[in-house]
Amino acid sequence: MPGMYVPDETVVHRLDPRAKLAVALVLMVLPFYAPSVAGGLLLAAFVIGIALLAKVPLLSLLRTIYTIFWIGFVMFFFYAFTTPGEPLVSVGSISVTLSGLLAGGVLIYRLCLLVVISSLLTYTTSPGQLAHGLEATLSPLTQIGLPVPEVSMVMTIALRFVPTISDQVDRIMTAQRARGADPTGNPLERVQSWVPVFVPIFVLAFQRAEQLATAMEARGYRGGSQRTSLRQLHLSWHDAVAALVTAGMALVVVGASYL
Amino acid sequence: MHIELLGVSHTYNAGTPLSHMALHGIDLAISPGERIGILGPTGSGKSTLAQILAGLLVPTAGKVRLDDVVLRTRSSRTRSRRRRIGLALQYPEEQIFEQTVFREVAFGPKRLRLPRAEVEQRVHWALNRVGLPPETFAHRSPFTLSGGEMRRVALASVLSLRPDVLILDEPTAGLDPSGRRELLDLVNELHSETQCTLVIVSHDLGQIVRVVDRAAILNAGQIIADGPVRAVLSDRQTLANAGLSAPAPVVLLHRLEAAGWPVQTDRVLPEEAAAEIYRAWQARGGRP
Repeated sequence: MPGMYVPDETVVHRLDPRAKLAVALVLMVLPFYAPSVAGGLLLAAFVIGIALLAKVPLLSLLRTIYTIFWIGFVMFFFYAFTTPGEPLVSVGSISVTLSGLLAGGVLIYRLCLLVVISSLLTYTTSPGQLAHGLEATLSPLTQIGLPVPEVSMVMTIALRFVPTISDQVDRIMTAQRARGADPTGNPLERVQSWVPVFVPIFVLAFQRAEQLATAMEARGYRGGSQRTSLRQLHLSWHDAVAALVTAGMALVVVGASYL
Repeated sequence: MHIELLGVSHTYNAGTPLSHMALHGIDLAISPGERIGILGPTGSGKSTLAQILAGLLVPTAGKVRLDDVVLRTRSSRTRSRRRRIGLALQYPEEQIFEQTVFREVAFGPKRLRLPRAEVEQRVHWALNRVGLPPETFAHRSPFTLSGGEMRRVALASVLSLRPDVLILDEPTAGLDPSGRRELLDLVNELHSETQCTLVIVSHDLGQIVRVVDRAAILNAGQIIADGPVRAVLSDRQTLANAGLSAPAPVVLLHRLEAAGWPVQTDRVLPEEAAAEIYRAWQARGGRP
């Protein structure tokens, strides 16, 4: 699965999840503030630099970009045809414009960066760390009545079961194929061929949820802010460096657009 | 159907950091009507092998030949061969999705686009075969049945395809001893009625001898022993190498032999071992 967590010991993997969340957030906002080509390229290079530092195979990054291929393609198409300006090629009453191609290109650049940055985050941060980091980051919101620990527990559990359920989907699909289910034929038949997969998955998911709830209660789980954590988060000088470098990067990119 | 595996290897997630080689250079030939057990510890590649034998997984290296056809993913000849192989995965009751037992078991035959009368006849045959009389069970919801009954429904839904080759992956997992015994009896009756090829994947060494004649031991993706089931199961050394422990009767007989008793050590079932020990006891003149 693209963007799935792969355990490693690189600097990026060992950063505090809170620092990584903050860096990722800044990096994801930046593409929208980088109208100059130089700033944009610099930002892209910075992100690729992080990927190299985290030892993410570039092929698997390309694979994550592929997941948004069709959305990107359709949107590029719309931008190219609907942006007013000097027509380059005309098809009937609609025409491709230069500014349309540019706007489409910028859009794709932003989409790609968003996908790459978020998958870098999930690639280098285990789901548990991620949830822990989010909980710590959002904890001030308990002051205004948001049930942050509960939400974080729900999120941890949801993330935890993504691979489990995806394994189950594989297994059930194999089982149904063994009895002659074949995802071919007309569109109606294809939709119908998902029923033998989804019904068992839902049944299993509900069973699992019930078991998990019982197991948690049996071990004395109670939601609420009184809970402590086995692994305390500690900021180190690595995190400070990462934050400073990202802040510097942001200044340069934003500054470049005012030159 | 004749099944032949030549140098089959399979790697999951090939080319990623999570790549994992499940099978390594497997050669295996299974003749029509044969009953073979694939035995091995957890993670030895048994389930992967079962899926490859069923033609559902195309191995990353090596050849799978079903009669004269070499398996490929999308050829229609592959599909027609695959249809003659039935596979029940581990915990097959998890695949149940229909509203009634009848419709569940009829799913496969309907996908084969058989005439309605034929579908009905097959469902009735399969349900009777697994010991669930259609009169009482056909119109019940499968989700109201007990675990053992659900497993039988799932098994019936594979049998209704009338496969030439039946592959069962851990058919007795999670059943109580009497449930296990009943299921194996059922498999035996089925084999004597249909003469289908039977491949049973299991780590339950003690019971497997009731249903197969031949056994292959799989360890870390390689076949380390293949032969008559009693010979394989009484070879304690090879079993130990695979991290398996020999069936309790075999261990007992080996100990008696070491103590100087004139016993044959290839008696795998408790009742056979008991008879053998009694025979040896009498041969010693009834002395302990």
